[in-house]
Amino acid sequence: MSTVAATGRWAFLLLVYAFVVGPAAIIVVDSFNSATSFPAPFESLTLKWYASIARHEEFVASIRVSTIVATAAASIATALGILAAYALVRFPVAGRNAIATFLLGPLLVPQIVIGLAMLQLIELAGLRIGLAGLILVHAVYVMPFALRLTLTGLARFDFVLEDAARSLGASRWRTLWHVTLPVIRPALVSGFVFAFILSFVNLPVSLFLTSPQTATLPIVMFAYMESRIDPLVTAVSSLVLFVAVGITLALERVFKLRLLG
Amino acid sequence: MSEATTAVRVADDATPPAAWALLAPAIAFLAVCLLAPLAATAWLSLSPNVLVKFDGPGLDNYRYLFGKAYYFDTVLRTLRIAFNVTFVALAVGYAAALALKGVARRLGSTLIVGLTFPILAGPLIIVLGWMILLADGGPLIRPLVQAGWIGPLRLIGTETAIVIGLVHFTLPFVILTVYASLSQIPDDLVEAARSLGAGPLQVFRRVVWPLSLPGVLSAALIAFSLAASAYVSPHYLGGAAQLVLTTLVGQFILTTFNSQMAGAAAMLLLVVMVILIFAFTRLMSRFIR
Amino acid sequence: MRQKPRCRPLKRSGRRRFLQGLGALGLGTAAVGFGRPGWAQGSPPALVKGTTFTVSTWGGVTQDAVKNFVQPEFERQTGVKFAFDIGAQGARYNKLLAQRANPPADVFFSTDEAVINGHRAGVLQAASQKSIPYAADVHDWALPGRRAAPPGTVLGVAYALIAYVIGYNPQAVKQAPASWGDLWRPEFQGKLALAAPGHTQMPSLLITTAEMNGGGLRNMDPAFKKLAELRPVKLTFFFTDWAALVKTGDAVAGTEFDYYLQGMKAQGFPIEWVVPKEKGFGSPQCVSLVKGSQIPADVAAAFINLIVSPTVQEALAVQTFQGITNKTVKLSTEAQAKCTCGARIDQLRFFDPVVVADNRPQWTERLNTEVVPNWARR
Repeated sequence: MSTVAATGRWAFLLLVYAFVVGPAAIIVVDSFNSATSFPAPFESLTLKWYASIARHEEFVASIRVSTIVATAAASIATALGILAAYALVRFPVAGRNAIATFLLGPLLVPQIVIGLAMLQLIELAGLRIGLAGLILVHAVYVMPFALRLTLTGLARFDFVLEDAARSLGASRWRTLWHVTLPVIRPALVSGFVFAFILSFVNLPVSLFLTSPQTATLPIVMFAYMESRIDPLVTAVSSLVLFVAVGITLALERVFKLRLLG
Repeated sequence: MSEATTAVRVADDATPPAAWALLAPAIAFLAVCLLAPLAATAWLSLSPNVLVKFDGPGLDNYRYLFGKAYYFDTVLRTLRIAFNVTFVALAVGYAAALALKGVARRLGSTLIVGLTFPILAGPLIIVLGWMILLADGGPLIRPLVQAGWIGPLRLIGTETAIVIGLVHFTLPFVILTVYASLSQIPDDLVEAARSLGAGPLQVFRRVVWPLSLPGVLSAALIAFSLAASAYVSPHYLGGAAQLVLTTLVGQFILTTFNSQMAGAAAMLLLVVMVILIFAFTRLMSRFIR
Repeated sequence: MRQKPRCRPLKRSGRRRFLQGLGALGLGTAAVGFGRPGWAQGSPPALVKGTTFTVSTWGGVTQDAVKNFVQPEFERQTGVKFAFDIGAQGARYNKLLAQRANPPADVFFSTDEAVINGHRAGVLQAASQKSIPYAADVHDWALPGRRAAPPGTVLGVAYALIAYVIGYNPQAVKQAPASWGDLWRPEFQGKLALAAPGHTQMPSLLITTAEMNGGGLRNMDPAFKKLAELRPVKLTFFFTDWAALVKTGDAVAGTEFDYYLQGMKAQGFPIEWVVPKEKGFGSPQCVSLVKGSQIPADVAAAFINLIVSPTVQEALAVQTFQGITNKTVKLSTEAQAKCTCGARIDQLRFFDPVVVADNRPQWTERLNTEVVPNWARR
């Protein structure tokens, strides 16, 4: 490729990256800004906003809630997803395409509708909004992502391995546990992690379903931004970003996952 | 989805009952946690409320929404934004994926992974960053205006701001999907075409583009779904003057407490999206066969 | 701009009223049969010890005020543990509507209009006046729906008064606005932060605009026509929706609550504010009991009593810049200097919350369909 074309390509990629990374970079930079309102020109470097996160109990509590909800939702989604994906790929299921489309259906439903619908069902049934309802809607929301990643992973799996194990006398269960799962583990883990992250940072699904005991981090940030203008939210978001990036990188190293590729 | 279902192996002791047992939990879960709530919403959307009074279940709420120009415009705005976002994200995303494809393998995948990190921060905080960048007097626009590169520009509170925010959100997904699809094109095919004397443009038009179409279709669907169902970007970047169906649902519930109209707007959004996506998929599969 | 209220030192009658309240509480709990007379002397009934007491309120300044001035004393008195449900009034009210069987809060902070709405919707309950002795000391406008309340009860009690006024950037605006009509100044168009259609004070703005343009409650058409002529840069619910725009110069004026503007000023924003000559909009901030709450009514009512008690009222005035409602409290000069004290009550107009509640749905619809589309054009 000629130098002009190569330079052009790199310039274009640089622009795209600046576009994609720009807003996040601004947020991260501003989280170290000592100015007391946000946004504001950069005054001096400080870690005080990060330090003060621990003092804001509503943020700490919401991080705990979000972690619980995301873990539970991702677990449910991954568990249901692996069962369904295995059935769809392994067996000649009647109406396979229709069922797969149905199971991936939540992708079509706007998140705010998922949340609203659950609220209205709870209301009509006279139940109480609580952690259970929140976890369930999050699980609905992330299930298609977990399912799709698992389907892709299983599609690449050569079932000859299973047949070989069976023919050597292994029971169905042992085959599953010792042969299939280890091979598709990267797909499972990436499905789980993806589902976890999506649930953790989501706002619209939780918008109508939070109570004081079940406020997720995005909801608390949303409420905080209504009443205060200090950069604390930038520090919280940057922290979430660092942790998520850290987990992703660590998993890529350990599992050699192509988590996002 | 299609690649998964073509890898089916029929075992000697194929037992569909086992398959149903494996599928049952997921299906039951969605039935209880998605279908039942949606049914509740549908039921409420057929009920009278403080704005539209009528007897018993009926479609009057929908008639009301379609009747008022304001609400009809909201539907149009939602679709218009979604289409614009899809178009721009596809154009830029495809070009970026192509550019990345030509980059050395390891550097390329590192760059790809780096693309997805902003998503991990969450849409809420990203949109906050955009609010700063798109403000008239903000650190992006003011220097450009002062340097004379562009005239005075008002972006906050406009559809353009929403489109920018949503393109930003969907671009990584588009690039990833198209890149994955481009990666599946065997290099030998490109080599073969080259060796037969085809120039780069012809190689693209005859080999790369057609083979990447399934990925493009996937990416278009993803971008459209994400854009039409987004809440955070339209809420902060567009505001109350530029409502889309999602923020309209929010407004009905949160400011006028009209559960029934919120339900009607929600069902409307859902139906519109399902129809459009199915129509698009049907149309495209006729091309890609 | 604003004048300081009269000054008198705090009276001793405060403590007496407080003990009266606790005494009533003691009588009340004995009557209900807790069987432990004298909890007013500091031994709370086992029933409420460690129970969660959920307060539904606005975040920021209001939540801080409750946390700092009410929570410690109340937790000490009753042994409950506080939890907060914070957010905009609309979202919190919606949660009450959605969970009648199992309310998510025990007391509800809101505007006076929402107190009326809440009682009509059956999600709030009246409190007995005996359990809120300090309610006898508040201004008339601090007891919403007085006439509709069953005898011997209050629907809700206002603990603070805030005023909706006009804020502006003195560096960008040479001549300060003096009237609501100044919102239509050409220099403000495209740089005006305006209440969103769903804002609590929008009906008040509508009524005022109608009256200034040849109409009134019976003829609101002029209001919608006139409002459509504005070109706001941002439709706001909170000051945080437009504070950043003041810094970047995108907004030079806006309608906003006085205590928010005072807070912005204290944080270094270039902002001043005026009470328009047609009067600012007085908005009593109320607390009410949530119907169906697990907390005994008189315990929840004691919370209300505490927040309108003189000690707490004085602390609120100094810390939150909000006006107070307890007539017997006379602030020291230094305290007066710090609070905007509801921008001096006689400069304010109080709109009948019943009228506002009755008309809001239709007016919001008209705003959405007749006015907002004009605001959206550039």
